[in-house]
Amino acid sequence: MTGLSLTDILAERHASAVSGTDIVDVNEPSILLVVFRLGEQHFAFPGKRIGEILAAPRVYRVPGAPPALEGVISVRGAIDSVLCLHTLLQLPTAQADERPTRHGAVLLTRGQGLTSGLRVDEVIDLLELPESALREAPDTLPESLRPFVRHLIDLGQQGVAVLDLDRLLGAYTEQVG
Amino acid sequence: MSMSGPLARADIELVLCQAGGHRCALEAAWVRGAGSAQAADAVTLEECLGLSAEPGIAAASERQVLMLRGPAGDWRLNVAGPVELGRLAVERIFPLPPLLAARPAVPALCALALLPELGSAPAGDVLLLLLDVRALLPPSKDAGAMSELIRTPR
Repeated sequence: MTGLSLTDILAERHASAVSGTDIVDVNEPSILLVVFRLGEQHFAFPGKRIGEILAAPRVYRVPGAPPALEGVISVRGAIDSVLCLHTLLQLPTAQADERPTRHGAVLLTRGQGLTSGLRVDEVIDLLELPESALREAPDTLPESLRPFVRHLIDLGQQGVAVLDLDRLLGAYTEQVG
Repeated sequence: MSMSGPLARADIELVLCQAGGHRCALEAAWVRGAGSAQAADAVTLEECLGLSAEPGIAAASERQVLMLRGPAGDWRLNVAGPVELGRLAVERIFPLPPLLAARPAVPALCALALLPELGSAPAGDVLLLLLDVRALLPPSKDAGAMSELIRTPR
């Protein structure tokens, strides 16, 4: 027995609810993010650029494709490419070795006349956040990530790097990845 | 994916073969015939595509030589079997996805198709690589005579 009554609990909950710390200004512009994991690191894309999330589709290897191009997938009768974000972001090899190849997910990009799948290890969440929650990417980021990270957000104790999809695709076509 | 217009019900005749464990297809219009792979001077499809032949598949399947039409005359191409003549509906043929087309490591690869994989359980598809014969690199030497040339049975 803690000695607390329901009245005490409700009063405490009411007080914390009106304390102002969790109040969201509904008029503030917000952004939808698709948060995912690559190894132990968390990343996100703006949700408006992700059309669909596919759970572990079968990927067909294409001979001679660059390392960052994992293969192609069949999406409702069409064929799309799948890029491996792990390789494109030059994440540490040990993590690449440990990444699940059959249990990951593929994010389908949309917009700007280009469709492609993006291989991730796990989709963590879909978040709608006020734009004020976005922080500028710090200079302390690894050099390989710096060109592609637009912002950072804090998700609990975990930092999440918001990626610039156009720069990633541009880097691939310019033979960086 | 559905198609409309005059191509909706069309198909194309292809010669199917294998290279490095991948299922490949050449437009039949560029293939004059096929014969047993006795000519040691025929370039292999794996060499043309920059692939290594898969030992297991090479041992298990008979290799054949295709006689191909080329701008400088006929030339021979050594491919892994089984070599089959087939027809593929146009609606099943897809151009390369943009990101694949942007960095083509196999210049002759011009399109893709998914074919039902026979005998697989559960049933799946196999990726078919459609190759442009004109983009394959023929050997510099003359194709020479090919007395064993035969037409592929239909």
